[in-house]
Amino acid sequence: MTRFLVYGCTGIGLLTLAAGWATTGLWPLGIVLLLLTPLSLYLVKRKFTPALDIALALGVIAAALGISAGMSLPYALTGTLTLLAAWDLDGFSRRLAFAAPPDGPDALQSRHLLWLGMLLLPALGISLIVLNIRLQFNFELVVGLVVLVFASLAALLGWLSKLQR
Amino acid sequence: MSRPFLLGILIAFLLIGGLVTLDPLWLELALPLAVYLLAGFILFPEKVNLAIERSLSLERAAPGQPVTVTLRVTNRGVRLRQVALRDSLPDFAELTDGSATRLLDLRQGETVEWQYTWVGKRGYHRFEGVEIIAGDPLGLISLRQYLPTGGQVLVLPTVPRVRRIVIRPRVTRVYAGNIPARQGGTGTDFFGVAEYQPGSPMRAVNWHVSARHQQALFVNEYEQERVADVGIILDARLRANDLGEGRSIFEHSVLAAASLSDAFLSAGNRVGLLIYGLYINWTNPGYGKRQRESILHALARAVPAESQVFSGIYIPRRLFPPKSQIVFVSPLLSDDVEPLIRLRAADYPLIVVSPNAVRYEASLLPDEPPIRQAARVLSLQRTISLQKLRHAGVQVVDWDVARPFDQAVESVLSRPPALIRAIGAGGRL
Repeated sequence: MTRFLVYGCTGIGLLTLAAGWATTGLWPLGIVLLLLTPLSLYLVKRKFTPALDIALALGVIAAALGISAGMSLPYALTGTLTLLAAWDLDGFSRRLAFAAPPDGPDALQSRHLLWLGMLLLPALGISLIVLNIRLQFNFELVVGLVVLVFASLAALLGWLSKLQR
Repeated sequence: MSRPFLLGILIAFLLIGGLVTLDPLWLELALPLAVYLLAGFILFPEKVNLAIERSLSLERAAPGQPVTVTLRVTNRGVRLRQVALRDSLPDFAELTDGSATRLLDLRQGETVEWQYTWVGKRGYHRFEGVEIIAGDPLGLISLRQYLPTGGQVLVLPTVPRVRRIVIRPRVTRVYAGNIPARQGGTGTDFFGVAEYQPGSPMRAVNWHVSARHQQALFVNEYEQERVADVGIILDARLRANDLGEGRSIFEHSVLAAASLSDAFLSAGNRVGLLIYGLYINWTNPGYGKRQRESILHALARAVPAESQVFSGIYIPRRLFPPKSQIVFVSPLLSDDVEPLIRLRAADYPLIVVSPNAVRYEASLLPDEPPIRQAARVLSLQRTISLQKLRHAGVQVVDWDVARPFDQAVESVLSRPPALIRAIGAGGRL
């Protein structure tokens, strides 16, 4: 079931973004995303490990640039969330290969889907709430955000290297 | 690229992009990713503290005998969701029941017992440990650990029983055995007559010979029977054993070496084993059951390998007592003949047991005219090589592996070498 969900989420994510780009009037980019969909599905089927890493990165970049080009947020958000779900489920399906019959693979799948749903729905909710809040960028906020981004990245890298050791 | 790092980069891209374009919708896109990443960090168990114990149903198995591995996993730390465990299954093993991997949800203090069964061919496996992959339930951040657990399994080679192998080395050891020692004394076979000495038993007096001499008595002498030194050399060179496409005749060579060492040890001889492959693996000569066990252990671990140093045959003679019996087990390459003849010329009685690689390979290939023709040419080359060895006084067992080893070897080696030469037997089997 997980594999089918991976294919489904990948397809829906990329097609949504393609449709979003089509609505902006930039057809060629929509067609590129449309063509990337079967290629991504093929690579996922061949269990090419970085396929969904690339698809997620491309999807997020396409969604962000699409927003700047006039794509409506529901397209961008749906595309990003479904690609994130596909990326997560792909990783889970690899872990699920370790499961033996006594581990109850079906129960593990259901539990993971519940976890994912519990996480993505609040994320979507927060996004929709924030959508209704008018955010104005002023100099102090920009400086604060830049500092926050770099501090978070440095902390993340430090934590990851500590974990590696 | 690690998963949290990818998400971190994407979030940074969206935040910086949002700041550059002054578009808050970019930040909106970053929110789900940030929530996901944050959840991964929050749910990640900082410390994994698992204890694993292993027990094996057998540590010494026969080929095909099931071996059950039991692992007892105890979580001494915080609750772990989706912790993946993988035990290292031997390369030569085939899983018959259970699974060598698990994906568990372990509560604090919980213990899970886990079993799996495998059967294997000949080989040796040392269990180094269990691989653990633990992380957050989303699998975003994972921690890979290797928990050492002891245990080893030895799958010993099959040993077909050979009832009798007759050898006639020139030098024997002092202990009584069943190899004629070419010396008069107590025994069963008549050896000669000698002049009566005080203390000689009266029943040994040969009255016919004594009657021909007026002032002397003669007694019968019997040939002493003693044990001998036997050195078995197993050819583990890859180029001699590998037949391509994953086929190898090495298992048959191992079987032959195991069977011969068993037969020689059962007859009370002192047997040593030299495995000749990537390096020289020498099992010191010894007697009895302990030596049988040592040799079987060495054979269980033997693997064919290639070394430039040992690409040709080099037999370290200093390992074998002078004039002791040597048994060379090898499929034989054409350039092996000369070193073997030189060994025979150095007065070592030599038996060559050669599993017939040509016939074996031909039996695995489709029955087509070019293959038949090639097999015929190679068989002729092999026959010539074996003939050269026989002319040099080497006893040769050309073993067609389709036949049971005991039958093949007994038909050649159950009679004395001199008799074999006289009747012209010992040819292809």
